[in-house]
Amino acid sequence: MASADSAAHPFLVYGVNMMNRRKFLKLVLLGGIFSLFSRKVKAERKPEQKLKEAMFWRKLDNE
Amino acid sequence: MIKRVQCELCPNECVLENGQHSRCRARMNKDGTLYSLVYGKPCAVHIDPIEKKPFFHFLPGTTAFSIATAGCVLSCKFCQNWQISQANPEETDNYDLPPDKVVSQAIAYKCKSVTYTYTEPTAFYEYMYDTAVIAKKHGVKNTMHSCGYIKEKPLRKLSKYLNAADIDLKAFTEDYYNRICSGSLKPVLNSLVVLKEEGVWLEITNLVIPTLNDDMKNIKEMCKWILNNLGPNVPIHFSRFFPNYKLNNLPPTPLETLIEARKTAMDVGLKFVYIGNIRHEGENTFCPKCKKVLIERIGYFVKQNNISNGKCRFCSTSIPGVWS
Repeated sequence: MASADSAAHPFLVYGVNMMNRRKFLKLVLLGGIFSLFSRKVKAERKPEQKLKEAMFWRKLDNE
Repeated sequence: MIKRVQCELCPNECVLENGQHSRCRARMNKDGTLYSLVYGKPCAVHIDPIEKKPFFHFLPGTTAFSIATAGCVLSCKFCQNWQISQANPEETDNYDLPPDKVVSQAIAYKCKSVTYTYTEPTAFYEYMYDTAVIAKKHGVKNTMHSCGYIKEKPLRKLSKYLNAADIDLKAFTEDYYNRICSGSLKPVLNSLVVLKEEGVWLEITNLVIPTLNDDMKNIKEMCKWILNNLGPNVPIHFSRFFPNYKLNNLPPTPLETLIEARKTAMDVGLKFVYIGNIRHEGENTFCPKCKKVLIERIGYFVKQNNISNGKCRFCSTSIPGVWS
């Protein structure tokens, strides 16, 4: 059976060992502070533009 | 209920079921009403020398605020702008530029005219018409470069606001128009006559393509028709072809062919015959009387202009055109 530090899961083992709780919280806190300075994206739906009726045409089925 | 409509703008006369698009791709039947899909949505906006259109007898040395939307009423196999002319409006990158903004931008950039060009202005007729009305009110001139494939009624309506038109007379046979452009010649000839009648300044461009329309007999016939129906003062531009779109198998037009076409046209009696898309003295305007150079051009740029108050500076011969 493959152990946790075997070549089969190198990234998982590396990632878990590198970040402790304090570092994680520091990162979250920094992210929160930076987000305060960033521009807010307005996720609004653009109002649908009215189409312009064409000139020079006629209806056929009312004839 | 079936809600069919028929477009009456160009000779294609598309009959459209609900939800169908016109052949020019710029119009759509939506619940029994025909809409323009390109109104205020140009995909090309540029400031060009007026000589690029080409207009050689219309405000030389000025700039034209040039716009186009996607779509064209023809589908020429040699189209130089096929990426936008043969595209649906949703396939191109479009600006949001309503007619009043076109005019205010043209004024801001000191353009003497707004030109409807690159693709086919008929495909964006409503946009062109509304823009032309506003431009005229503000003293900005209106010009178009068109294939002339439009019905008489809309052309006459537009002509009231149009100062100049450059019409592509692509060849002088129905066969060429059918096979190469998927159109027909007769409506184009009619448009030329209508524009002349309406007093719109007219210039003609003929793209000379090796083996397809470079037969001098046909060119002579075309020039005779121009002389008899439009007069000797209509400038004609014989333009050099470069391989493009579906005609990549043909070579560029040899200079000798263009020179021969120019000579043929001048022998017929046309007074202002030019060669385009190549550097040659045929780019210049010569006085028909004293033969001196009136306007010397290098490509699209005017090097010298010897026309003063519409007359030759050397012999005072009146030169037809719009000079101020």
